[in-house]
Amino acid sequence: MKTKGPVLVAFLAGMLMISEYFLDVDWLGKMATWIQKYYIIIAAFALVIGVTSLVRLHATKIRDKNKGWGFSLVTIIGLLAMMITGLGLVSQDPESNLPLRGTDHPANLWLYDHIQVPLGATMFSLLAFFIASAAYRAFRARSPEATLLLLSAIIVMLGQVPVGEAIWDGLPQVKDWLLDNINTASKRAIMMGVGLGMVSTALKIIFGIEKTYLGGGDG
Amino acid sequence: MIAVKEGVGPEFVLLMLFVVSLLYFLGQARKGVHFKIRKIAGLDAVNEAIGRATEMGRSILYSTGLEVASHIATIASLTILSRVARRAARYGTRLQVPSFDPVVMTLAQEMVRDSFLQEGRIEEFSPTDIFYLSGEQFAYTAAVEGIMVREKPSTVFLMGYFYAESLLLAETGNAIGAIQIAGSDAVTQLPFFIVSCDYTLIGEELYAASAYLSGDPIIMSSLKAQDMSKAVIWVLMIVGGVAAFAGSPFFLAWMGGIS
Amino acid sequence: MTFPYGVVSPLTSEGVGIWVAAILTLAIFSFLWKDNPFYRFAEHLFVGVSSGYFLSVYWWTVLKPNLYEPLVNGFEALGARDVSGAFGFVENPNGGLMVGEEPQLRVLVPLALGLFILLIFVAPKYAWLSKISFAWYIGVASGFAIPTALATRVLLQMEGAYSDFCGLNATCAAATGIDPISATSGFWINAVVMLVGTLCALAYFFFSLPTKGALRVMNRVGIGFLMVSFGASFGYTVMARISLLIGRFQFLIREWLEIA
Repeated sequence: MKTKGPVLVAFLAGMLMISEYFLDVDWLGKMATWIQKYYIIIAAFALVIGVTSLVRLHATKIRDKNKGWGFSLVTIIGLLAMMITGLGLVSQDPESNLPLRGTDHPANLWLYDHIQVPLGATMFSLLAFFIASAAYRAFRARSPEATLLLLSAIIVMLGQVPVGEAIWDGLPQVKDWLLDNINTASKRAIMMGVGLGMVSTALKIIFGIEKTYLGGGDG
Repeated sequence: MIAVKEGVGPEFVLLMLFVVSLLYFLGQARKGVHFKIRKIAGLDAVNEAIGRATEMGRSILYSTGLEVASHIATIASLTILSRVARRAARYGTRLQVPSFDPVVMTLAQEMVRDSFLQEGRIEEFSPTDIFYLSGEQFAYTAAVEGIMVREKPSTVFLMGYFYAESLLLAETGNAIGAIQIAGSDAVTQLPFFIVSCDYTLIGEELYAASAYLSGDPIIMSSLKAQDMSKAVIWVLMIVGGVAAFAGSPFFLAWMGGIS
Repeated sequence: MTFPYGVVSPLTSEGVGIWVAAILTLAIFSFLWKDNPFYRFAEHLFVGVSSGYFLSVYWWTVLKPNLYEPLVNGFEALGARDVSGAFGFVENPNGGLMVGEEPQLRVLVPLALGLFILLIFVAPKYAWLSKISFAWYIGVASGFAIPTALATRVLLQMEGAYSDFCGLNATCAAATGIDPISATSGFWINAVVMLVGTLCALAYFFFSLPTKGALRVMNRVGIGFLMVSFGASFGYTVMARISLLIGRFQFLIREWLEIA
């Protein structure tokens, strides 16, 4: 019962969504819209579990004075600062006198703008260095496939910059041709395969052939 | 009277084709027919990669990607995780799963616990090894990179849907000398995995992986159904192309025309 | 050169913010050298702050409007003995009641599914109930994915793979409204490359056929297509990544150091 029940639930939920796609039935459509709007509530509850597990992990480290416990304290302080300013504080907009709370609260906004955003942007910008080291690695690879990859990367890269055009004025056209034809053809094939893979995975879940996500692994 | 929506015929035909072939091959598998599946390089390396972690006394790091649990690639990744967890439990190797999505974390925790239970090693299961980090793309990336350089896992799995962070994760894994097996259906990120990882499962291979690793003929029958549909699509594209060139818009019109 | 930002005093909250952002930027960059306490500090702060941010976003955008408010309204209606209103039923213009836009107490269903998940922590003995929530969640996702994947990932791509051939034929082009392509050699080649490339690359994904004969040849051509395509994507991304880095340096130089 503890597995059969959930499998039946997954089957019914799946069939409902599939039927809604194909059938023009008013209540099915309404129900599907409703489900999509409200099933994210499950994710919100899971977030509570997620953040609690994060806090537990770091609280244990602090309590046991594990190596690097100070950093755990930083995580907890950051979390609390965001939670207090985002959930607890209310201030007033000096112009409209409307209350400012949540992500509109000035303190929350400050933390977001001066901590979260620059940290994210800098992590993102590290890619410039990492793409260089990856290119170097590709350059050293010695297989026919890797050579193809490298050649086309160089053509497209040079085709985008003025230097490339200075070397040979046909480069931008070759770049466009590679992107519009070879690249598109390959992407189409990958996407078709992925589409079938998705259908297969989803059907296995709806039919209860694959139940590992419920616990009860079999391989 | 139930009305059918307009213009959904092609999807319905393809779906029916898939379902019928899935049921057919499922029946064959139940009768004991053995399907031959070609080698998938990255998957043959899974055992070797887990074995290496065991020998070196180091851990395995498994990321299910940066999508939520309702993304099918994430579900595929979770089923692969459960197969990896069985093997890790068998060898007594530590498995760490940092999560981006809290639903994924909860599912992963239950699945890995179950894998340890089935291998009779539940006392070695550590729930804190499957943990939530952050739903922010680069906060997650920064933390996983930190774990990589500090814990030095000898094996890294990057399976699921990834965005720009793919290269940050894969290059850091490469820098610490880990064996890396990646798998993704994110077309734009595949090039980076191919350059920086030892093995990369491309697109549909990610979805095939869980069936392949299960070794269960019932689950593998879905691969036959995928191939069957692929063959039909393959033929339809040629027929459609020839018909169009000969002046018949039939197939294009049937599929809904170019929008 | 005009200075776009103006000089910001470091004593204002904006000024402090720029210093904090600049120090954190440098702390992240320091990872390129090696793992160090500065990076570790920034990383731990990032995880804490972003998780806290998501909690508050989930409350304001998910739980409050979609759960808390309907519940409050529903119970208020119930208190006023308006049972149908409490469950979000409204008058049907054709007589009787119908399901209204506002869900009110109907959100007790997703609430229950959410609470089942909390049982994992609160009452492990009943944690199996969470499997119902997860089965629902994954089931809905699967059912939604199947027809959508067939439409956008399979059918749309199939069409795209051979539609150029329709453009090459005036009758077909006229019938479908595709721009007719004058049959020059260049367009011929493109149409053939698109179809053959797609077919060969798709052939790479056959898992259960023996890779022999014609399939082997197509497989090889397919891998070639895939590799050239991956290279092209790689090359295409390089410039975009470099411009991100330039953006960070611009912040450090202009806003923090205030050098125009």
